Amino acid sequence: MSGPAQPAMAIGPMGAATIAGIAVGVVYALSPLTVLFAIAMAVMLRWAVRGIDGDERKWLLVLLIGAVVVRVAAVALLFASTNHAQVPFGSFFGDEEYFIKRAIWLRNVGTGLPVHGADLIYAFDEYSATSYLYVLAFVQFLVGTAPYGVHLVGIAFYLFGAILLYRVVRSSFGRMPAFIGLAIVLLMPTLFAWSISALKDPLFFALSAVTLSGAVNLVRARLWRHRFVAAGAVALLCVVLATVRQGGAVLVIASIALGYAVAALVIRPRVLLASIVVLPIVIGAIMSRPPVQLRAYNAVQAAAGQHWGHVATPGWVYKLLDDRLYPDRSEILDLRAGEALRFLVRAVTGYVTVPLPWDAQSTPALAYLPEQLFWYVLVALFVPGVLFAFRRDALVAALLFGYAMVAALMVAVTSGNVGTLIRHRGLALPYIVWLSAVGACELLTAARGTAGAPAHALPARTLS
Amino acid sequence: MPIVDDRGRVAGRVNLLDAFVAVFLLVVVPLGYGAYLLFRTPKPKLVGIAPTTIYQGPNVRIGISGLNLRPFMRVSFDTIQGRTFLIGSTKFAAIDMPDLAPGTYDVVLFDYMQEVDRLPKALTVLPQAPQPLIEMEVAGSFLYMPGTASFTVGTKFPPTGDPIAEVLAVGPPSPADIRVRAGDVTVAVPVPGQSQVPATLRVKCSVSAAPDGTLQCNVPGPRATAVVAPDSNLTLAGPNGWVNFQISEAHATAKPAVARARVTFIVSAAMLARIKVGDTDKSPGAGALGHAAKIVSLDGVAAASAGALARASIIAGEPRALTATLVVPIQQATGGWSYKREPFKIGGSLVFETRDYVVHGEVADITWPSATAAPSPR
Repeated sequence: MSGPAQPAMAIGPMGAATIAGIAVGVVYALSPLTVLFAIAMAVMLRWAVRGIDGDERKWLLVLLIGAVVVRVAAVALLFASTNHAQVPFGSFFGDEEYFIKRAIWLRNVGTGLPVHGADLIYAFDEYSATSYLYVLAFVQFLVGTAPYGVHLVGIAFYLFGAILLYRVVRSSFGRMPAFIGLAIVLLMPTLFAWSISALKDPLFFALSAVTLSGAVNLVRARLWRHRFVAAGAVALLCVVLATVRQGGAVLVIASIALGYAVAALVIRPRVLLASIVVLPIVIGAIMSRPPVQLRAYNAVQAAAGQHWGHVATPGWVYKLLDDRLYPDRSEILDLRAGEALRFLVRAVTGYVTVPLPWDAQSTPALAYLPEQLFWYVLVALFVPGVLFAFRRDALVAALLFGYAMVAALMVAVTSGNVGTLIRHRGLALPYIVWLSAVGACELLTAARGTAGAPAHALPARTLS
Repeated sequence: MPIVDDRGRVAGRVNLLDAFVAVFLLVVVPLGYGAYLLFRTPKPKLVGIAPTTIYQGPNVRIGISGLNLRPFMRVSFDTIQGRTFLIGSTKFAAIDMPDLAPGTYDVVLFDYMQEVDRLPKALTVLPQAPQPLIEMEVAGSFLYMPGTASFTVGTKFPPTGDPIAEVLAVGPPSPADIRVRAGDVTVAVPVPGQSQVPATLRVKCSVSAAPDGTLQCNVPGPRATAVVAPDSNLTLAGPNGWVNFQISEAHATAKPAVARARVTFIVSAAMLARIKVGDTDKSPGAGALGHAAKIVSLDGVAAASAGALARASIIAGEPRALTATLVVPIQQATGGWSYKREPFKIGGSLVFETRDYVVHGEVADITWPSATAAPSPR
């Protein structure tokens, strides 16, 4: 009866650690990927805020933790809302179920588990084949079947790509454009949707972001050996990207080439002016060669053919070709000059404007309307954003511009289905948003009448 | 010091005219020549076509070989432009042919609207094998007609211009049924709420060879041609739009020869009471105008012989042998005359059918048409 009264349930540090260890063990037993994902997120958040202090650090953590929480909650909701008595697992998108099953079949083949003959054929089917299937199969080889855990893998890849771009952009354009861009990349609904998918899109985004960072380091690294490492990494990733998405390597190589070319011109105004004069002449000279004309014509025909295929799919479609070319695909073989030109013009305008708000034909389309309006705002801010960004960091701005333009052009001339267009616009959006964010910040600053450079801006940088 | 002095020298050293000439020779001429080489588009050239001889007809494609061919070029045959220019390489393209009349044509290559090369008399279009246009008579019914709609004799399809069909005879409307091919069988399917109008038409059709080599006659339609044959459906341009006519039988348009025949029918007493002079054969194959046999006299009734009974179908009650005289429209066929596609000869059988009865008989005697005193087997 002596001494002060102790709380009956007081838990010391050892007790708390024990309970935490047991909890982690239970969770690991239920879902090993969740624990590994949590560790990865902790490392990633630490890396994201490294060198960032004060309110910016606080807001950045709020944004990132919030982004992680809502994504994990979405996966948990998918698990909770799925009737597992009827289906083995739930999925967000139509393709996902097939995708996850293929990864499981591949894992079964790799581990020697018996699989149905049809599953064996589908596992190695050329349709939608990507090396990401083998990544998911390997992950599930390590931790067991994880039809919900694979969503966490996609989330981790996406967050990695977003944080990497944020850090690249922050050091070039400043705090505010970087933060705004990151917020859009993490919270924009369609990007959010694809970031939680088990499809190849998050991995492709993450690897593309690494190539962009590598392309910056290739120019900026102080030591030559660092430049060699960057060049090697970019080359290796191009090879990997070619296995993730058909044409992925071409996409990245063209993006980097365009970025370097634009950066080289932008930092040399006299060369830029000379190029403006010389470029049409050079193009004219090159295009006067029949083999070059034929190659360009064949490329337009191939794009028109892909567009035609998209228009023939079920769902909400839009047309870029003249009406006479739709009843019979073979008519594209005789594409006329005017038709080809109109197709290209419509492709570019369609990429920006489709779906037009007054064309919304369903409840999902109406639900998408606010994001479409936001997309128009991003496009409007993109042009001034590019110009302002060139003044801050020509190399990073040009690379973002290159990645955005190449992805946009490739999607613009091949799409014909509204849903597919919105999905594939996600290839260019993560690069467009940073430049639009720069435009927004600069225009806001100008509107306030602030003299001199904005507070959040860094001094203008040259190429290296 | 002036830039150009009073002796025309620049900076006192070079004569101005000399300088112009030097700049022209050393700069402008090489620059111009270089620009010419750089921007000169190589002249396209036609080398040949294959095949050089084609037959007149649709869906024909030829290949052209050449040099420096480019996208968006066109090829014409004299003044008639090819439907397509499907470029495969700078040396080859395929052309879908336009409709060309038989003859010899220049092959002309155009770049936009400018002629760039020509192969004179390079293509020959041969005429198709002649396809005669003939007339046939078909019996059948106009389908899907509103209750009171009908046609009058003489109605033409189309109503204006050169008709491809004309109504020769028309019957009263009746509830519609269509004959539908279901696998190997043809099924008559009623169409509730619709009526059909039986009629006999004279149609113009073009003769062509079927894939098996036989000749058939085709009537053009809005989507495809229809073969003149039983159960085939003709789509004709009527006075108030397209109408459907399903054929039940087809005949040559030449007016059939008419024979006079005495036929012995084995009938029952009940049948005997119904058979009368003026009855017309309504059996399948005799529906077209002028193609049905008709009883012109009833010549006598006798007890049926054992042989006739054996050949006739089983008759209810006391069988009788009714001898009647008929006029029978007949047509030349392989092996002699025929009626309803069956040989028409003495001793042959004949089936006579009206709405009320069907009787089987044997041809006892025939008086051939005057122009053909005897059958002419072929």
